[in-house]
Amino acid sequence: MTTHDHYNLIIIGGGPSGMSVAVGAAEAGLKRILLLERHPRLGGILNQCIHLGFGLSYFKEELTGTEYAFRYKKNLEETCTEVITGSFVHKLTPQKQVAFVCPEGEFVIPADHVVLATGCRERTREMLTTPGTRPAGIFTAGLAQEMVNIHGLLPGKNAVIIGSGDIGLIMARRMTLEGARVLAVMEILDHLSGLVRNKIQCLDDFGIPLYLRHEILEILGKNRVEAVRYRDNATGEVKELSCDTLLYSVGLIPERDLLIDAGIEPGNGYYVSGNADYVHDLVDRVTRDGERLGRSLSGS
Amino acid sequence: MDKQKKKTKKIAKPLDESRAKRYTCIVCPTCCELETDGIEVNGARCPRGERFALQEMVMPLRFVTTSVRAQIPEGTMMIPVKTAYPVPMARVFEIMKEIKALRLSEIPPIGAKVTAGSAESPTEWIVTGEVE
Ligand SMILES: Cc1cc2nc3c(=O)[nH]c(=O)nc-3n(C[C@H](O)[C@H](O)[C@H](O)COP(=O)(O)OP(=O)(O)OC[C@H]3O[C@@H](n4cnc5c(N)ncnc54)[C@H](O)[C@@H]3O)c2cc1C
Ligand code: SF4
Repeated sequence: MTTHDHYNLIIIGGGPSGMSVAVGAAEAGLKRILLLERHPRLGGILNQCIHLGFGLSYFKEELTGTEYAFRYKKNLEETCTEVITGSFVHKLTPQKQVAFVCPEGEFVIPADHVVLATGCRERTREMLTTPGTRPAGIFTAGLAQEMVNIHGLLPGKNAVIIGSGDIGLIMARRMTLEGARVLAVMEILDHLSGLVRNKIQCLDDFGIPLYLRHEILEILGKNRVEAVRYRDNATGEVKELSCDTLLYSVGLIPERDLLIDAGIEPGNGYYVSGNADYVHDLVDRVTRDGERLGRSLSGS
Repeated sequence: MDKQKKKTKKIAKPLDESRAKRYTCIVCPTCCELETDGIEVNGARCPRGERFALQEMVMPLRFVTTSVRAQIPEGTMMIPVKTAYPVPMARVFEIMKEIKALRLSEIPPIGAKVTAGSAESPTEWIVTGEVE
């Protein structure tokens, strides 16, 4: 399976961050580099980002997320990095041993440096704490994105989007193009969370209203979502809106459970990069930071 | 949120106020606030923004991205695509209808061209991703 019983560097996660750390490290002269990715292919979240808006700074060209992943994979392929897809890392030890399972079995391999490039997960707490029933039709925006773009499934016909983060804005347009009606994007804050250009090209272009300072109070519906009750916090007015689908786009949380579970702090050969470090709006920055981190690692 | 925006050095050009319109440039994440009367453009930090404002005034154009179905023996796969050129905003839904009606019989490689729509007014799309 792996060609060595010890590596200079093991990277967990094959998204843009993990790939760029490998590229940087190879540039710096590291020889034994292992990249572990749980999915069958590299690219991370970029694989479900079929919209344009990536690479303007790094590739000097506007690409889709999928194109960015493809281009950057070429850079990775020019390095000596060994890649194992379909490998899930489930445990780390303070001695920098990485335990992972893949179709060939379970492996525990030590390394000089271990980089956590595991990305982030979507916040769902708001979803779970919104009072009301628990009918079908409630999704995170990222899950909806995967359903539509990769599996060709439409989550519903009349949607309300909770939160004005980029994934929610991108999905408002995506659902509209696929024939669904997006009735509103509701944001509890008094300002947009995502990029302004996404509000313009995803909401304004399609006449989708953005309700700022609006709070969702209750989900109504028996088997399927039937409506939401919400409050305009500026006026205190409470209203209901009929819909069959709710998409939550209420933020991302860096995925660092592997370190937390093992009681390890970053440092002493452990590093965190990309969205696992902090949430990045732009992938170009993720790539540059990752390459820099990779170059700073010395072989031993 | 509070991204530091450098003040434009350029002095604002006089505009024909009766025709002046405001746009936010969406060409890059800087999101410059533009104002144009169809001849001069103020507020753009680069020439792409000037072109954007002038175009937006006449006929807004957008790239469309979506995924198209490929029916292969193993099942249905979704292939990510983008229009080969920006299309008139007013035609976006029509163009979506055309690409949704299309069924590919094999998985094209990234960069391949796919044509949808009628023979008289076809739309060209480019495959943007690999499907395993
Ligand atoms: C909807 C959406 C829209 C976006 N739009 C833009 C945009 O327009 N322009 C732009 O520049 N940026 C955009 N971004 C941001 C950009 O895509 C991200 O910042 C970037 O992808 C983060 O890269 P990453 O490698 O840190 O994380 P990810 O891409 O999430 O990769 C993490 C990888 O780690 C793997 N992994 C996790 N845990 C394990 C484990 N235990 N074992 C093995 N593998 C594991 C995952 O499978 C995944 O492949 C967008 C992001 C989203 C979600
Ligand atoms: S004018 Fe230039 S710098 Fe400003 S948003 Fe448009 S493309 Fe970006």
